[in-house]
Order: sequence, then structure tokens, then C-alpha cells
Amino acid sequence: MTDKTNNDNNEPDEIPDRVVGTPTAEEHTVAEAEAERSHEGPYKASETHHRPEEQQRRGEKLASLWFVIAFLGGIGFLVSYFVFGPEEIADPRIGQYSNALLGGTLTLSLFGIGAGMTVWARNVMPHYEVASPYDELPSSEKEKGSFSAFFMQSADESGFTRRPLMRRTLIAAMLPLGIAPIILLRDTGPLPGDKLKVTPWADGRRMVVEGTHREIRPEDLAQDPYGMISALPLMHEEDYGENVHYPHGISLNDQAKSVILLIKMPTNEEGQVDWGEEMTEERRNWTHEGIIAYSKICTHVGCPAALYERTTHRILCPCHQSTFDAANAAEVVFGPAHRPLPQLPIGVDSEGYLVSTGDFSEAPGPTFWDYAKD
Amino acid sequence: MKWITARRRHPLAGYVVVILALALFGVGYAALAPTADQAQARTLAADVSSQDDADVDVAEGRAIFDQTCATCHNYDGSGTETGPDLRDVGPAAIDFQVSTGRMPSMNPNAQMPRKDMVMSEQELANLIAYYNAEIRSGEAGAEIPTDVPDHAPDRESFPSPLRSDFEDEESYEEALEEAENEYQAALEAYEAEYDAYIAGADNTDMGMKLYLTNCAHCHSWSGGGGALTDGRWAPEIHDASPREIYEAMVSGPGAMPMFSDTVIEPDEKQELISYVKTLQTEPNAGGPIDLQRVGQVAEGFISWTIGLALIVACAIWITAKQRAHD
Repeated sequence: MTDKTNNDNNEPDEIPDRVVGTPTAEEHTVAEAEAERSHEGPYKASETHHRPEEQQRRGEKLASLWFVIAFLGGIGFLVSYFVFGPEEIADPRIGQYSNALLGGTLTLSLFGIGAGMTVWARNVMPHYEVASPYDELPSSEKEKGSFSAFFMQSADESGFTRRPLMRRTLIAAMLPLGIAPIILLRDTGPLPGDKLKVTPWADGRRMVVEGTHREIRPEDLAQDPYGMISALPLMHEEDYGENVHYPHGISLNDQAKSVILLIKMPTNEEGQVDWGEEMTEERRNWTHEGIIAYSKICTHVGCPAALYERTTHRILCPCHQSTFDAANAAEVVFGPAHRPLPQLPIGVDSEGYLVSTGDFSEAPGPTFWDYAKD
Repeated sequence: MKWITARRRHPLAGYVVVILALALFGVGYAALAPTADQAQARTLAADVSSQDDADVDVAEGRAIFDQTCATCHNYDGSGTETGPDLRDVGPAAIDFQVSTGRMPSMNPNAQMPRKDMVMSEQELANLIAYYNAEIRSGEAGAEIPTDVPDHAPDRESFPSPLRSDFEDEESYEEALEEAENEYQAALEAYEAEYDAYIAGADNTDMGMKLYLTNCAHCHSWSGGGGALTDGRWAPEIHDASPREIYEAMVSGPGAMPMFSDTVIEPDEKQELISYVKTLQTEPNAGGPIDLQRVGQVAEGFISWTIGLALIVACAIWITAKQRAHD
């Protein structure tokens, strides 16, 4: 690109080419030049345009063409957003077409606007320097008065008001992109309802060892004075519902919500567990023969917190070192988590298997905006 | 002395003194601190005659216990301030702690790292016989899983015959070959047992699930171990034999919780151990700093970041403007 095509200083075309990086011949007289050219008031459009009218018209048409392309791209973006539903894009093979279309049309739209504006600036707008001295604030009354006149004059100079084809296509090109963010909000829905607070645990639901899927009795843990195991709820076929195609009828989302740590707390010489202060009468009733169940999902950002130290009965989360005291209602003793792990009330059923006697004491997993509301 | 006196006000003199003092303390501590080797020496000094037959000697076990264990665990195994009560832990815990070299420990305040076993197999068998006979309360604790293979037989426990014991070259060669055959037979028997145990697991998938849900948090997905609270750590498990893994699960060494045979049944443990063994045979991706087996690419990235930072620091230092008065 030579100086001729990038004539920012609005210098006459006769000035010989110079090597990039060397000072212009006039550079040392900038102050004087500024004094000559400084913008004392709105120029008349006719005085500032050095480009022939024919070139401006060509520019207008080219810019409009770009804006039309941008508009079509924007429409295409909206169309390709709705062509593939949420079910379809879950399939990676279809999802890639959706991604390609969304990205391609958005690129086309943004590029079209950019290209059109470049053409506009290079071929239609006048090129001259405006020196704006740094004035005292606030502006004087006179300047305030002249601003709107100056603004309108500039709009006129730039061709925005005078060239309706280009103006209208530009507005049309912007419109779909302006609407797009509002439409994209659809992806945040539908509202979760009470999904975040409810898990498959319910009164009388048996628990199984995660991995082997074998039901557990309290006697199984009797041999472990310091035992611990990860467990999941046992789903019966009538509970499978829409999860029928998952092994054991429990979806990964439900597993992530309902997985628990079953901990056998060590007993002292009297055969009692040394519970902490937070273990209220109610919470002690939620345990069974020293076996206590907590949600395995850290209340900070939802990592599985399962580093259990039997000597200190601490539960540690490997991600950010949140530490919970299993003997004290999983109170936070260290780390970024700011509420205890939810406790699951447990008991035994008539056949002697460990069961939950209800859902978690609080919503499991990381805290969300309305978790404390009912 | 004049040479030192002349330089004692040198700007670097202080640093030299500090470095010399640190070196002195470091070397001195290393020389004086008790080590496991000395503990072994004391154990052997207990005048116990080592036996070659498989029979156990409870009296010798008592001698080892009184010499090696009783200081911390008390003579009746009831524990002291420095060592826990052993009466309920079971022989599996004793076998695990001693065979992985964690016991006897010279520093009861810290977690013990894995070391070579300081006793011979026979001494350990005697110790466990004494423990079962005198210290263990009833049937408490887990039994040693003898059907789970341990480490391969040690080459050193099959000593080569000495040349000086033989009259002629021929009989020496014969004895040498016999000793070698004996070792090879033991090795083959072990390998057959090991293969049968590991290959006997037919659902390693379930073993993987058990490992990932119950073990991987502490011992890491690669078995590389990780940090716990208060300076404790979960050790890496690449050296562990199947029997040691089994014993760790049923006895819960250190801060590790227990996984008894009723919660994870023996055949499920077999699946789990089989999975850990496949983990162990995965080649370490290597790399010069061996960071948790992350591999050379990740290590290269880390080195690149640190290296560039150092280069930038050097560039700043080299090109920094010198102060006027220096």
C-alpha cells in the first residue's frame, strides 16, 4: 500500500512517494499546517471532497453490495440457528454442520459489514485532518450550539444522509445481528424447576456400591471400623422412566446428583461415636450404627470430594482443598466451600438392607442462586 | 589465618559463613540421624538364629517384637503415645507395614515412605506367628490374604554356593546349577500363580470403576499418589504387589479408610487389583522431571514457560541500566 492510496493527511497527489518510516517533508511544519487547516467551523461538503462524484457513486454501490451480503449472512445465521433443534445438535455428526453453518454465516455477516464500511471510508468519505484542541471542560455555550450543526454536517459529509441506498442497506445488515443475541437466549431455557434440589433418593430406597452395584447391609461395614465406600441409589425397573436405556436405569446426571460417601465412623471405648457439636439430635437420627452418608459432590464447584482420611475423619476435595469434618455434620474446616456437604438420612428396611429415609438435607452440589429458597 | 582475616570484611563473607554452616549441619545430621539400616542391624543383633525351613518360631518372633516394635507399641502391643494399639489391627496390617518397609520406623511423627523390607521373610513370618499367638485379641482384624500373590521371589534368598566349599570344579558347577534351577522353579511357580490371579479377573471394567470411585481421588488416576492434609500424602502404588494392595484395602494403613471383604468382595478386589496391575504396566510417558506421569509434551510446556520466564528475567537483568554510583 503506498501513500497515494492511504492519503490520511489529505496531501495533494503531486507529493512524491516516500519510503515508509522517513519523515514527511512537511512534518516539521505540522503546527503551522494545523493552524491553517484547523477546523474553525463546519466545512461545506463541496469544499472538502476531493474525490470525483463518480468514484463516490461506485463506492456507494460497492458498500451497499457488501451490506446486502452482510444482511443475507445475518438472516442465514438466524435460519441456521433454528434449522437444527437441540435434540439434533446433540448428535456430533449433525452438530458439526450446525457449528459450520452458524460460524460461516456469522463470519460472512461480520465481514460484510466490515468490508462495506472500509469501502465507504475509502471511497465516499472526505479525507482531511481535524485538529481538536483539548478544551477546558465543560464546553462553551457556543461550542455546544455548534455541535449538533457540526454533527449533522459530518453525517452529510460522510454520505450517510445523502446516500440512502447505502444507509438503508447498512441498517438492514445490522438488524439481524442486533436481534441475534436476544434469540440466542433461548439456549438458556427451559428453567430448571426444582431439578437442582431433588435427587432420586427417597424414603425406603436401597443403596448399592458404585461399580459393583451390590446392595449393602449395615453388617457389611461392621468389619470396617474405619470403612468408607461410594454408593448410588438402587433403581427398580418401575422407576427407570426415561432412563431405561442407561445401565441400572439411572442417568449420569442423576448419578452425579445422588452419589454418596458411606462412612463408618470409628467408635470410642463405650461404643459411641464422638460426634461434633453440629450433629444435632435430628442429624444423629439420620445415621445408623455409626454409619453416616454425605453427598460426594463438593459444595464449592462440584468436584467429587472423596479423599477420606480415617484418622482425622476429614473429607477432602482434590480440586481446591475444601475440607469437611465427617464427624461434625461435614462442616467446612478449610477451603473455598462455604456450606457443609448435604447429609443423607439413612436407616434399614425390613429385610435388613441400608436405605435412605428421605432426600438430602439440602440441595447437593455447588451452591446456585436460589438454593436456599423452597 | 592472615588470609582469612584480610577477607573477613569482604561483602561475600557473610554468605560464605552461612553456606559453610548449612553444609556442616546437613552433613552432620545425615551422619548422626538413625536410619532403617541401623534398625536392621539392631534387629539382627538380637541374636536370633535364622532358620531355613518354613516352620515359624514364636520365640524368635517375640525376640524381634521386643527388640524392634515394643519401644513404640509396648510389650503387649497395647500402644504408647508414639505408636498405635496393635491388638485389633490383624496380621494383614502387620504384614503390610513390615513388608513394605514402613515398619520399623525411626520417626513416628512423620508418615513412613515405602522402603526395602528390613527383615527377612522368615523373620517376618516368626513375628506374625508371635503376634497371632500373644498379642492379637481373638480374631480381630484381617487375615493375610495368602492366596493373593506377593512379590516375585528374591534372587538373594537363593544364595549361590561358595567355591571354597567344594573340592573340585565339577561338583561346584553342579551345585551352582542346582541353586539356579531352584530359583528358576520358584520364579516360574510365582509367575504361574501371578498370571492365574491377574488373568482370573474377567471384569476389569468393574475393577476400573471401583478404582476410579474409591481409590483414584487419593492415589491419582495414574496411581501416582497425591497430597492429603497436614503434610500427609497418599503414596504412589506402582511398586505394590497384589498382596500389598489387598492388605492395604482390608487393613487401612495410615489415613486410608478400610474396604473389607463384605463391602468389596474378594473377587471384586481381584478385578480391582487386576486393573491396578494394568495401570502399573502402562509405560510411563517419561520426561526428564517425571511429573505425575503427565508425559513429555506437558512437561515440555511447563519447562518452556519457566524457561522463557528465566530468559526474560536474564534479558531484563543484562540490559538494565547501570546505576550512576556503582
